[in-house]
Amino acid sequence: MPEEREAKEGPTLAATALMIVMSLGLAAFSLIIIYYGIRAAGSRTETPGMDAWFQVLFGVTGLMLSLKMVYDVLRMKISPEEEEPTIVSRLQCVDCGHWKEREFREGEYVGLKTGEACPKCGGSMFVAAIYAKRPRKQARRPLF
Amino acid sequence: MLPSWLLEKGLLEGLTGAQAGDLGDSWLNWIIFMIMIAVLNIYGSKLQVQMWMNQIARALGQLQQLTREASDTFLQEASKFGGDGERVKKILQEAKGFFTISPVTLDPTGAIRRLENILDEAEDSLNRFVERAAPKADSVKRANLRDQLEGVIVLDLIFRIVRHFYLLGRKTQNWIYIAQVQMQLPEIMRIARAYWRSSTAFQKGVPVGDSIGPLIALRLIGDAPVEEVAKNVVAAEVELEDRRVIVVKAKGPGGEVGKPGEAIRRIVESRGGKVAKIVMIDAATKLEGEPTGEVAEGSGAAIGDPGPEKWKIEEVASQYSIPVHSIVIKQDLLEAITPMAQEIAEAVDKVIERVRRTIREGTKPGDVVIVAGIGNTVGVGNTLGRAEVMAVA
Repeated sequence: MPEEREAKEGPTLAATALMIVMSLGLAAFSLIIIYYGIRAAGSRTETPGMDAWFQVLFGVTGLMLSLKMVYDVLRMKISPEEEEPTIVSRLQCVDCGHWKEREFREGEYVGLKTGEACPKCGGSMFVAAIYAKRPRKQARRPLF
Repeated sequence: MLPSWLLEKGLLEGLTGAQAGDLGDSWLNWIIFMIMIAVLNIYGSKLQVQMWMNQIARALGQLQQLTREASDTFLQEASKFGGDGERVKKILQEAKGFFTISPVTLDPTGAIRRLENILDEAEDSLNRFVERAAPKADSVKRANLRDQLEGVIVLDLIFRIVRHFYLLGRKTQNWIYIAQVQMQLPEIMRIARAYWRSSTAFQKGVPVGDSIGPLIALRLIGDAPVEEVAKNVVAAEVELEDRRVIVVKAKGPGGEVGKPGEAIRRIVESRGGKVAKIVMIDAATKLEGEPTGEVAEGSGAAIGDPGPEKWKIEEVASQYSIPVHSIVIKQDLLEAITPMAQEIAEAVDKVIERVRRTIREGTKPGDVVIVAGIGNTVGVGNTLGRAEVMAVA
């Protein structure tokens, strides 16, 4: 259920398409502006004015803005989905203390005698803990 | 580069009336520029508010969906225990919007007692809703269903509050209403998701992060016999570090928090105040950057109740000059009400080691020490692999 919910929360297809079309349009417009700016700046017939460089500047800004828009849309779409943890029961032997993990079964609680035999000494086992196990991520160096 | 036909036909120049490099001199460009400035000046803030309103509208849709899903989970679960589908739906509708009114604090005398009375009545009312919705549920299932119902009520309340500000902002066109909700949306959604996820934990009866206190208490109790010392609170006497340790926890394995303050007061008074120390273990909200499962300790009563239970502990401890020491296990809100994370469960041994040290410090062999594991005991029994509760006080 949680995965279904997370999947539904992204932007709609229409909104994504609109954002991409807009950013492509902006990118195309920016390229044209840059082209004109560079052509004017490189003109041998007349001295290039400030307008030409402003055009290049506006073009580059527009291009960067369009790239940022595409990046934002992709990030929203390809955001890493949170992995649903597995609920495990940790069973421990009353006699030898040997423990093992297995998937949680509904109705179990911590302290319950499960009736399972210890694989090591044959003693009875009880639920010592129940917890959510997530795949361990590679630890990132903390900023502070 | 640009297609040659575009340049040859001079379409771009035609469009703007400009030559290469003189786009800035075109009168059309200046008009467009001035219009843009005027539009942004006049309508900029309106556009911003509209964008915020769209974000809130999307969040409202999600909140409605989360509330609906949590309600459905409750309906399915209650229906398994004798509740008729339509009847349960009606009861749930009645329960939504349930509120408690804080007591008057203008006259602070007896405010805590009045608050306790209100909280007791609130709990009884919710229990009655659950009894009507799932008449065949036993006490454990009833407690879990009540916690599930509380989650649905909180989600519904969040939805109603956000909707209120959204509609009020739209009606009055006052951007303050909109801005304050928009700025808090990430936190609001995080809290809502936490409550939504908690419904699964209570449905299955799995320990949540807040159950770490009762879990540690259970480990200390081991297979010692337990006794109900206050409403939904059990206690067992064990020997630890040559001291007589009375371990207190909520009565499991249903989702109860009990009245640990009342239990501690009764234990202390029954011994004429001859208690050397009170050690409390509870989950605590971590700050961002702190690792989940980090253990910290300090003085004072670690208990997150609205007031009455903490007050009882402080009162009895100060009356008999008993030091109160607390050990907390750090976690965030999401972790506190969703299935217990492995990091939190792994803190048990570290905490027990600290409890042993705390018991040794400042007490003598033979002294009585109270150790209270505070929190919701969902999925945590009362003894390790032994018989059930013995007597009711």
